[in-house]
Amino acid sequence: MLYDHIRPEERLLINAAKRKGIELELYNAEDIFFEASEIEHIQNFQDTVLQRCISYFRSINLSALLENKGINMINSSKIASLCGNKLLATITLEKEKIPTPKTFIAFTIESALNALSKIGYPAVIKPIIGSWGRLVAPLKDPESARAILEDRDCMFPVYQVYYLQEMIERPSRDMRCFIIGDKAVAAIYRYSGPDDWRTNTARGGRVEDCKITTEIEDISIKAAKAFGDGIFGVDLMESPRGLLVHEVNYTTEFRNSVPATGIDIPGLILDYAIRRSKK
Amino acid sequence: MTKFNCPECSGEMEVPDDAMEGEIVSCPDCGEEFEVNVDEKKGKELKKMVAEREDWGE
Repeated sequence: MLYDHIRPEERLLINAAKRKGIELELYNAEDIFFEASEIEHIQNFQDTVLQRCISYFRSINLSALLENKGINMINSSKIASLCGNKLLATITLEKEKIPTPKTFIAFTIESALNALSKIGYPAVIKPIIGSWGRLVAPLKDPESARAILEDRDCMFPVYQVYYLQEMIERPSRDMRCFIIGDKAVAAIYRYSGPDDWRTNTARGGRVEDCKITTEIEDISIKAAKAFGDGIFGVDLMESPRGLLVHEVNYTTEFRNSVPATGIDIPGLILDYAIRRSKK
Repeated sequence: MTKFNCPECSGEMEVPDDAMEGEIVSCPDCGEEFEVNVDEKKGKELKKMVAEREDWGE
């Protein structure tokens, strides 16, 4: 397992490996360095590596280097690149005709305001790279939209790729369905915390078990398959026009989902990694 | 388990003996998160988590 921090998820994976008698080798990405063409002389990696870095850029670059040496990365650098970039993820989902919120992209403040006049207010702006609801902001009217866009205009250039979405009329919750390989193994509802409209558990949202209906299973598996064979947390919203996929996570967190669902997600992840390593 | 006083609120924290470099632990009293730092000479120390970086996530 490749990591840069041991979150509760990585600790649960380590404990599940101990429980199952699996020898899980741990590689700290912060200690690794290698010449791009001479990886094997520096680190003796196993043939299959579970990628669990928190950092997106570290994850995709390290995975690409290791894949170049024939190592089977779970998830692959391609999956991580697509899932970790909301614009690429939207393109991937759209290509497979998977329902997603209406999304516009713009690259200047004026064109973003023009796009917003098409979407209508309130709308939502999201950074194309980032997680845990960070810098996801509601745009309530043209004045507040301009103020937020002007702020983003002073930030690092990635924040000037304006990813704008319709605000979905939904209950104060969304859903996450965990896909491991071709199976939907668990699902949760994520309820907004008391002081935030976002449902991210990192922002104080709470979790409840969610029964996996055929509708949830079908759309989640289809969404995961659009990215490839791997381990995913597919985020869904209940909208007036049915379920919409708004995000697909590639190093999904599950610390709160294990007690809520009673499903041994880390154990299932390891079983899947072992199956993949034997292929 | 190794006992620590939370660097933030001085509450009592227990860090598992097998905690690794970079492992995230949180204080049960104030909820503040810390990273375990393993120093060969000093043993385990707790350092405050760096603020979330822009590309961090799941």
